[in-house]
Amino acid sequence: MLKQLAVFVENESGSLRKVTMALHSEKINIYASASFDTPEFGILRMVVDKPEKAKEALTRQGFVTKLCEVIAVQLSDEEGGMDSLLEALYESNVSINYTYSSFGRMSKLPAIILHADEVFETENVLRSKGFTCMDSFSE
Amino acid sequence: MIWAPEETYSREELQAIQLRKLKQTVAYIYEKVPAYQKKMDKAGVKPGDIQTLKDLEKLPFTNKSDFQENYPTGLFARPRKELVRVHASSGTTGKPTVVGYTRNDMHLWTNNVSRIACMGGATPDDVAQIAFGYGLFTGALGLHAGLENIGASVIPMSSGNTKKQIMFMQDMGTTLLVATPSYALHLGEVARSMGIDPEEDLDMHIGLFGGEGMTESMRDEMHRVWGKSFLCTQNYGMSELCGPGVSGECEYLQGMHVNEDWFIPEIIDPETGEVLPPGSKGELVITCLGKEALPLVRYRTKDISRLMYEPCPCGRTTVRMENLSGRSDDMLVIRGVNVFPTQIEEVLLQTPEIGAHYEIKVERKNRLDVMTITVELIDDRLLDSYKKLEELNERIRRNLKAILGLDAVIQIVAPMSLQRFEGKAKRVTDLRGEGL
Repeated sequence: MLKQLAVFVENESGSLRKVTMALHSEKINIYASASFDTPEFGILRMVVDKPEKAKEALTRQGFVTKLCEVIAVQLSDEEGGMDSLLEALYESNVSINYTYSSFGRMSKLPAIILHADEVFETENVLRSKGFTCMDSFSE
Repeated sequence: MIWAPEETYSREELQAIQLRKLKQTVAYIYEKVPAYQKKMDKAGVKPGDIQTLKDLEKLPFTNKSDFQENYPTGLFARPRKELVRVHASSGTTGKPTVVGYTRNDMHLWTNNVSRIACMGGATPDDVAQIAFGYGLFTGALGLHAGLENIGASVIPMSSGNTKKQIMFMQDMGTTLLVATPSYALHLGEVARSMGIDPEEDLDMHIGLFGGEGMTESMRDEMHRVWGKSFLCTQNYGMSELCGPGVSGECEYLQGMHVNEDWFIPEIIDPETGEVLPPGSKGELVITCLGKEALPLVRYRTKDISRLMYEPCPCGRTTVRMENLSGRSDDMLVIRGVNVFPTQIEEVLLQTPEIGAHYEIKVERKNRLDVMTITVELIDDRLLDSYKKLEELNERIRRNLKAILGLDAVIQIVAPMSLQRFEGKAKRVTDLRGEGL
């Protein structure tokens, strides 16, 4: 389990950049990020190396931000990897809210970041089915 | 057709009627309405001090805030069981402005509306389609009764449902349309987009417009959409005064004839409250004569106009008020609905997820008014999902609709992204401009 940083951004040119500039100046590394083409406002979701420091820096600059727990599952880099993860979740009757992807910096393997209402239980389910859940991207 | 003989009385005759009714009205309010008595005592005026029409100036003004302070029926002079109708309009806060009518008031109101309908060219032969929203708004039921009283055939369509409106115009041979001018333009354009040429294919030839002002460029546009021979007039009223029926344009389109035997108009300087000389532009103040349930003396309409006493070729001798040229307060008229920014603010302040700053923008899209309200998000808990943000958006929209009766577009932005003001905040931007 690891921390995800969510930032409220407006649908307007330059608004994502304001976030990345703030993170850059605080020397924060972004491991994964996801944003979508919503019409009016967006939530930029990120996994970063120093989440608390990132939240503090963005809040200081007037952003609405939130930290929450997400699960990062390591997958093998071969066909059917994502399918096996979703199969395991489906069979365990777990619904997820959203996913996005990145990769383990040491393992060089794909990582799927996912959010579910019951994060702890979901992670336990995945672990019991033999999946590797990451606690950090740098390990 | 001139509906009532009083509309052609000489100035002396009209003034004699006004003075007689004014004395009665002032004695009546002093006796029946404690709020008026208190205000008059404070100003040191007794009913006996009113001996000439000029003495009207001695009386204190009545404001919309008096309705709020005496909500709901504190300004009423008759008990509830004598009321046969209640209407309401926007208040400056969440509480509406409530107005009531006795049976005699209804009769008076109906006849005053019949007068303005006749000014606008209505006859017993007309088929009148009412495209004002029915409900608490006085416009629809007022015009409805006034036109029925003339003997026209009334179709109570209410507003919206544009395609059905056009079907009725075709199938029922509608000749007269009652609507806000912007909705009338929208209706005409939709008809044209359906391949209907209103001038050739419809019998429509009269428009009686109200609920919002009609500029001259809107009138030109109306002729382009509905045809050159379309007679479009506007009329004036507000629920506090009775509803529609205060004044209306005749076919000469030289201002709106005031039903002076029932309403005394004055023009004042909105800053000082001083009565301005005839012909000056200023805030319109109206005294209602002879209303039973809700007598109203020196009511500040906040509408800016001018009074014209020159004779009109139509034969009516009543004074005309120039088309409104703005407001002396911050009220907005959106789709014919009166909206005070304070009403919006009250809803927003009850929403803890957003900040205290907001912006209101009004535009005209496709001939219809669109209001966008921009608010700042401050609650980080909503960042869990888009659904929570959408729910906030929807909740604000619903609460505003409950208060205003209007749909607004809600835009949620990041904190500190709206402009901050030192001194008086400018929160309203009206991009509708002059004209269309």
